[in-house]
Amino acid sequence: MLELEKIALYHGATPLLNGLDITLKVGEFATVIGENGCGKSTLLRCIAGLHSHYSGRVALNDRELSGWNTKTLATQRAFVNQHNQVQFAFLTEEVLQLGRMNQKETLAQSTELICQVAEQLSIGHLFARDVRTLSGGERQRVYIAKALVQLLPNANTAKYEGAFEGKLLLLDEPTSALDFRFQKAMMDVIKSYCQQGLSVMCVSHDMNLVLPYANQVILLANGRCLAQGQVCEVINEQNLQLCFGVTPTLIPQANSVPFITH
Amino acid sequence: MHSKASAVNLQLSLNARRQRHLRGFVFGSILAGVILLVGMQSGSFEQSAGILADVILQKVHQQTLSQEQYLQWYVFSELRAPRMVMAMFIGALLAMSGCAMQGLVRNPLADPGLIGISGGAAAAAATALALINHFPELEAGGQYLIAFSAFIGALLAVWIVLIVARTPAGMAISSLILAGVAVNALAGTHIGAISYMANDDALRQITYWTMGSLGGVTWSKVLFVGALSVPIIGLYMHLRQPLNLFALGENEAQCMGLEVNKYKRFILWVVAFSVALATALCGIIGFVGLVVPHIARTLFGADHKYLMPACGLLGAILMLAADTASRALFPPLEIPIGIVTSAVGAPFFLYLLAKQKRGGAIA
Repeated sequence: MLELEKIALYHGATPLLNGLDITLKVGEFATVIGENGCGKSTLLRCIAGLHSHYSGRVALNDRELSGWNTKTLATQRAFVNQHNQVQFAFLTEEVLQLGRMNQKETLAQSTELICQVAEQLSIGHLFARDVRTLSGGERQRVYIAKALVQLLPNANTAKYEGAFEGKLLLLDEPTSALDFRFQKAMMDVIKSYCQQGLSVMCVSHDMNLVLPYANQVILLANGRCLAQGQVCEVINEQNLQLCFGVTPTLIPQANSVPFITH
Repeated sequence: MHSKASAVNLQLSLNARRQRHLRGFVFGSILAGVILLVGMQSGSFEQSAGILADVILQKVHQQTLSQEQYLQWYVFSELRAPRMVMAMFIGALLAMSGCAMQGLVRNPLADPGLIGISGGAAAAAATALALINHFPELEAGGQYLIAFSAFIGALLAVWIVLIVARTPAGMAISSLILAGVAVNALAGTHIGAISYMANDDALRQITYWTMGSLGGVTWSKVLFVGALSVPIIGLYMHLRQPLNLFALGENEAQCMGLEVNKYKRFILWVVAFSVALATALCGIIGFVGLVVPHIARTLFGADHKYLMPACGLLGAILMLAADTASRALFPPLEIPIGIVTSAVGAPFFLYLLAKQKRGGAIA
């Protein structure tokens, strides 16, 4: 559903991304791993359509990104940025409602959808709070909820399995501020959407948390793809050494995803 | 189902909020009515609602008016009523443009003047005033020339700012503001140079113009402003959702389906056009665009859905009150309305700054 061909992006003469080829299938959870400044966030921003001066081809559902209408695209792909800052005293509920603004629905319908997602991410009690006064973790949950709300199918269409097929969620460090409980809970919720067809590309430094959920791992170094494929193919000492420049210790686990430590 | 119950709760609280805001709008309208009643009775000419009601009744029954009654009617219908209606239009325009500006640059301390609109208008108006003073044959169409120049000057200033701030990746708000500062400085220099060369009479007029005034408002001017204001206010209402998205940040807005660059330019031009219109007809009236959105935000919340109309209403009320005060404070003198709004607005602005410095969040 997502195809990247020879994506390259330069800042002056410095390559930020250098010839990336990535394919993401329906319902797939891909995780992007790499050292600081290797181009992970730039890659996500490219796919989100926030960089216009890249070369190569980004196609979502066989259509080039630039060929999408901005509004329609917003119902198909959502992006959760690493840093979010709201200006003015917006309430959590008002922010979530904005996620439904491209849909022709009644307020009651969108309210119901919002409440469903809010319950999954345990943010229902934050509805009347000023978003700026939320803790970092609470705000992160609200923003991920907003992205999911943005991708939810129209309330007027009949519900069906695979309602999220062809939809893409881009996550930049989605669990960085979450506590022990919500790290796991968040991944479970996102995975449950993948089972309905949602494709996810997630940048994370918490490999031990994310890898068990991943169908595909993309190892980035200096804007290039170092290794790409299933967890068992990509995650080994040699690749991680190449990527991070330090030798990790891999402890084999029952679920075949090794536990990575220093 | 749990989420069903919470959806009902949320819907209830949404309804309650809408009810509360509606009550606010009703109360605001009543307040505007009261100020209108007070406003028509204040000023150097004594007029009371009671006498006026009699006059209107007689007019309705097509009875002839006495000379005293005719004077009452004239002062009301030709002097006070048009300027009060004008005050409401101008107040609404300025406040809504302030609201849009603050939402766009995501800064509660922003003001339409920031991007050089009023500076450009003042520089052009000063030029026109000096020219009229120098060439008496221009005197006849003088006020139109001034208004037209101010309007063009304001738009020209914005145009320069937009060109300077333009980059291949779109328009950066920070360079927009810096360019605005530069254009304002340039306008100030221009006014300074003209003031230096102008004679005392022209100098007085320039100074008077920059203080803003609702004097000399006629029904034809009101009609003109009204005819343009209604579609502009419609545009501001249309911009409420985009402004909400801008509050989340430009990247966020883009990803949620807003064509950020297109809307940025569009909002700036709507703001420029409305402030240019207000300034051309009434001179520089400061701080309405800055202060009203603040008050509105504390009363109606940050959601532009309610905030934008609230700004329109509060702006109208504030201008009405300022106009009334400008006539009522020292009769028979009439204080320029720009002085009244600045006298109230500037201390309020300082208070906001101090509050922000102490670490308090600005609503």
